[in-house]
Amino acid sequence: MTDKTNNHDKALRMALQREQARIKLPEGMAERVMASIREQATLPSTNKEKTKPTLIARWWPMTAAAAIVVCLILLPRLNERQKLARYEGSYVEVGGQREDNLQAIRADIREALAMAEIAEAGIPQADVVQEAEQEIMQAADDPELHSMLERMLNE
Amino acid sequence: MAKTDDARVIQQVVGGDVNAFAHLLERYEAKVYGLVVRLVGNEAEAEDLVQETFVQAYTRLSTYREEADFGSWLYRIAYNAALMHLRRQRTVALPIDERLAESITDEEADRTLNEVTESRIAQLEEALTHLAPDDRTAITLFYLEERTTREIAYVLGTTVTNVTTRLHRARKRLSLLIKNAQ
Repeated sequence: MTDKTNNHDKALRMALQREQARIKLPEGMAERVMASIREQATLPSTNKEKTKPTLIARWWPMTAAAAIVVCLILLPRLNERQKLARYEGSYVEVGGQREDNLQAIRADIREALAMAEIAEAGIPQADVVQEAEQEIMQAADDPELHSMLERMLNE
Repeated sequence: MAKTDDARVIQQVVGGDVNAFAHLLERYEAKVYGLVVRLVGNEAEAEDLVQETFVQAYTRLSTYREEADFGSWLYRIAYNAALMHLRRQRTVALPIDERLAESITDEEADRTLNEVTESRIAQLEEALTHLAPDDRTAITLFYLEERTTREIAYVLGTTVTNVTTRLHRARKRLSLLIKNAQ
């Protein structure tokens, strides 16, 4: 089949032409189509090209604001996570259950740190050493061990 | 109106002259309606689809790049609109046994499609209504509108080779339908 078959299939051409002759255009169709086209609020030419920059211009400040909000929320969390990493290995036991998730026990870590700070600030270091020595001496029941420890501590 | 006139009118419409579109409508409405009514077989539905076609053509006119002539571009929009409509309606063409259609020789198809008698023309008119939409479009554009296989390939969104094969098979299918009806 080529494009040069104009004289072939005459009966087929005639059938198509007869069919075409029977097809009547609906009355007023062109007017209805034009009415629909006039209803289109926008012109076909430049609107599509204009919408892209307008959309970007409209959305970029909102996108930037959203990015700032996300940063403000995420950065302190990230910072806290880094701080907690220093206490890796810490755990809390509640009712025999060991909890070592640092995020879950961060309140306990903070409390322990605060207590340690208070203790360090309130008691002189010499007192702490003396108290420890007394505890060791009291624990040594054997008189020989007791006198040996006494000698060592006094040296 | 020649091809250059189409281009001039298109420029006017794109420039904002909505009324100039009426010239394009006047030139192509009968041809587009003719194709669509053949595809959907219902005048009211065909009118809606023609309206949809021209509104789409108007809104997308700035994207028309003259890769094909304006008529082919319109046919392509109309063909796709009709095809979508048929898919929504789940309309299927009468199944034609491909093996039987292939058994029709070229000589037999030539004889069938060239026999200019009243009964043969009537048989062909009936047989045409049973073709699948793509075959129907190819046959209508090739024989009635005298479009080239290249233009038809653009309308159907396929290759020239595919259109040539499709036309060849459609002739055999028409011959088979007539043979079966006898």
